[in-house]
Amino acid sequence: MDHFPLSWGRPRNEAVDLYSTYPVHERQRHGQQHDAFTQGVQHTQQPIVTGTSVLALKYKDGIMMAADCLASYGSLARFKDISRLHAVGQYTLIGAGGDMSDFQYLQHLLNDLMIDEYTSDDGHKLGPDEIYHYLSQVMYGRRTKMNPLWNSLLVGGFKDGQSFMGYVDLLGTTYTASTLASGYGAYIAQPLLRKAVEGRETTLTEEEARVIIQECMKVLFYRDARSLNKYQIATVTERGVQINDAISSETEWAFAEKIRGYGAQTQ
Amino acid sequence: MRISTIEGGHSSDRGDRSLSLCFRSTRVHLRGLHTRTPVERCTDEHHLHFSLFSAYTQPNRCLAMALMQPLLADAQLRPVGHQFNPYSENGGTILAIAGADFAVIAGDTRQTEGYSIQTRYAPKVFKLTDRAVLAVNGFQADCSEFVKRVLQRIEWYRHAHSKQMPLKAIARMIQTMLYGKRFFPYYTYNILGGIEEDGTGAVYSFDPVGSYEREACRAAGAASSLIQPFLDNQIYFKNQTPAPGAAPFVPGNLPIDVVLPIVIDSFTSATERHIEVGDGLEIFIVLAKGRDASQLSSLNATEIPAADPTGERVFVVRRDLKKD
Amino acid sequence: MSIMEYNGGSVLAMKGKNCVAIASDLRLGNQAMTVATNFEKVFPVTDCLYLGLAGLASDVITLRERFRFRVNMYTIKEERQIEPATFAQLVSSTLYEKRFGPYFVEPVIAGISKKTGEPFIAATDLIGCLNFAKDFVVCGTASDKLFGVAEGLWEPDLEPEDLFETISQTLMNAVDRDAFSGWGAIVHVITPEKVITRTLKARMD
Repeated sequence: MDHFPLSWGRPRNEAVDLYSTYPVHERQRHGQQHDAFTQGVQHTQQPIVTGTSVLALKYKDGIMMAADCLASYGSLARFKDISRLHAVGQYTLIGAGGDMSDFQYLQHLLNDLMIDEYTSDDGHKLGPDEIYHYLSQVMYGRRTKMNPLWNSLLVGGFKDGQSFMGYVDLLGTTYTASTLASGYGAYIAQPLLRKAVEGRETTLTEEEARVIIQECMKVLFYRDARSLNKYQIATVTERGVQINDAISSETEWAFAEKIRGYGAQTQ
Repeated sequence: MRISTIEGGHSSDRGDRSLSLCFRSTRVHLRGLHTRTPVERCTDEHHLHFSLFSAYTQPNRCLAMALMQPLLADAQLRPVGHQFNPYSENGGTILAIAGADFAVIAGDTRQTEGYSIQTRYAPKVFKLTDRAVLAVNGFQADCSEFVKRVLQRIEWYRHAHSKQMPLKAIARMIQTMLYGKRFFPYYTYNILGGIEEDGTGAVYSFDPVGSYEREACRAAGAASSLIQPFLDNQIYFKNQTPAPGAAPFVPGNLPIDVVLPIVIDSFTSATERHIEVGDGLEIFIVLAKGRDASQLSSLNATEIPAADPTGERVFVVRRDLKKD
Repeated sequence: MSIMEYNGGSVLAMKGKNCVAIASDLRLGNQAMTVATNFEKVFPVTDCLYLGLAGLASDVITLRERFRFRVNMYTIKEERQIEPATFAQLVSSTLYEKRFGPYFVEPVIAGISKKTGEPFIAATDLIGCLNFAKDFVVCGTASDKLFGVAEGLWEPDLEPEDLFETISQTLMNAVDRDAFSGWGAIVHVITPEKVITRTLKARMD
């Protein structure tokens, strides 16, 4: 059976939208249509093209981060080959969830920052801690203007023998921890990560870390409807930032046939 | 001291749900009044009590309004789509107690959002000068921004006056900084503790818009309602009378070896009964100039190096709290 | 405004060594206005079993009478006194009967079993979800404060006089921080031999 509502030949416009596939921003809004105050300035009121969870953990040689390659448009899996992991200089990696256009803006901002730093040639190199604080100031500044960048960001890095992992979001809320997970990952993957990592940050090998991350990404793919089984794993170690090519997790859906009590099956 | 297990568990969620369901049935009764007298409807005592409320329209009008409030909120046409909410709340709790020549400022280290624990170690208590320690609680982004700005202003003061900023001056500065954002407040509850210029221990507590007061003790944050009455009892000796012939209680003058166990007990109690409190405890102790620190040795306290080694000293004690 | 806070009031019960204590404040309010300072919220069920009801005052009185009726019926049918644990189930099922239009009351039960001599405390929410605690149970508008102070002051195996002191201090310090509770308190300490009832003088502001 063809599972894509778009190819079923049913009408698809703002009046008839049986399968919720009509673009979000063009959808009919109910209730009050015009509000003179809010129409004056258009701020980001909601994310449009979004990325889901990012996971990160600390291990013996540095940090490992993972994010899938999907950028969704509402419930539509719109772009399936997007990289949500981004290297900043040679010590830092950021992973983004939330609005992808805001993330691209941040990538430009960080690029400009790194160029400024490079041209000043003062012998200093920005490490993960500096990038983390820079991002938190940008995010907090924008939330204070009531015009947030709709992202949750993980910052990971390794510099001068020290690994670093921090979280920043659209409100400017920050924290550091040895395991991090944004979006649905905070509910689904974080408990698994904590169980596997807490207390073993300095002994965990890269292979072990990779197995943990892969397991978490698979669980997320099974349970998060806005996720994809194609994802990237990146590491930051003494050797610098390495963002690997996308890999796919093997999945098994035979059990789905037997699920009764919800979904399509009624008996 | 505490053996506390809840069996069965209190389901507030279920309670709330049943409340709103009941509001609906009540409104049907209110409507019914137009056609039938309340007495006619009284088939059992349960109906009776609702009908009685409906019958007394005047004095219970506010009640009737309150009963219908959730319905109005549901049904009323509000603009679709939501406004961005620039605030959040990140749990945790802080407290401070002043002694004659010391101050204790403590906070747990858990950071939460909703039911999630974001991190088990996010400090809420910060050393500002050799004699001032600030605890901040509320919305984490505002907290760290506020502490950053306070530290900067304190540094500017040191450059301008070539001395460390006095505690009472820091307190007044915090008030003006908070009030400066009166119409877009920092969502932070601040407690400042330390040593005054006269060598006495002091605690200043603030509300988010800068209203402040010097006190002997104060708790703030998620579990403040659990801890503050306990401190009233143990620090201010509220509702206690000394035994006949015994010396009268002097609030705010307790020795440090009495204060520290109270601080620790407060946090273990709050951890037991509040989900947003736990993981770790950081206790800062500021000692007045020349006061001996021998009483802290049993607590495994580490000293934070002071700018002026002959002046006040700041120690920190780190302990574990339950992580569940 | 919540109906649970309409009249105000708090109840607390604690276990001791071969004894239990139950206490309530005495305030009856109409929202912020205090209208009576002699409104007891703890009622005897048998000679060694007490029931505390905090919440909407009209429901407190309704339920007091309803439980009096149901306990009398039990006593007549069974020809024996009701046990605390049995009474707790009675409370729970009585409240759950009104699951979708509940009494706005949170009950607290404290007593000593006639059969075993074991102290017993329990509390339920307004729809009868039972909570059997080993230490103490609280309810009412000052419940969070009561939890905090009780958690700090209570310890196991308190003798009746120490239990009286603990429950009194807990209640008074908690209600002094609550605008909707206070204005005096009443404490019952139940031992196998006797019940000690004391009215406490407290802050009246």
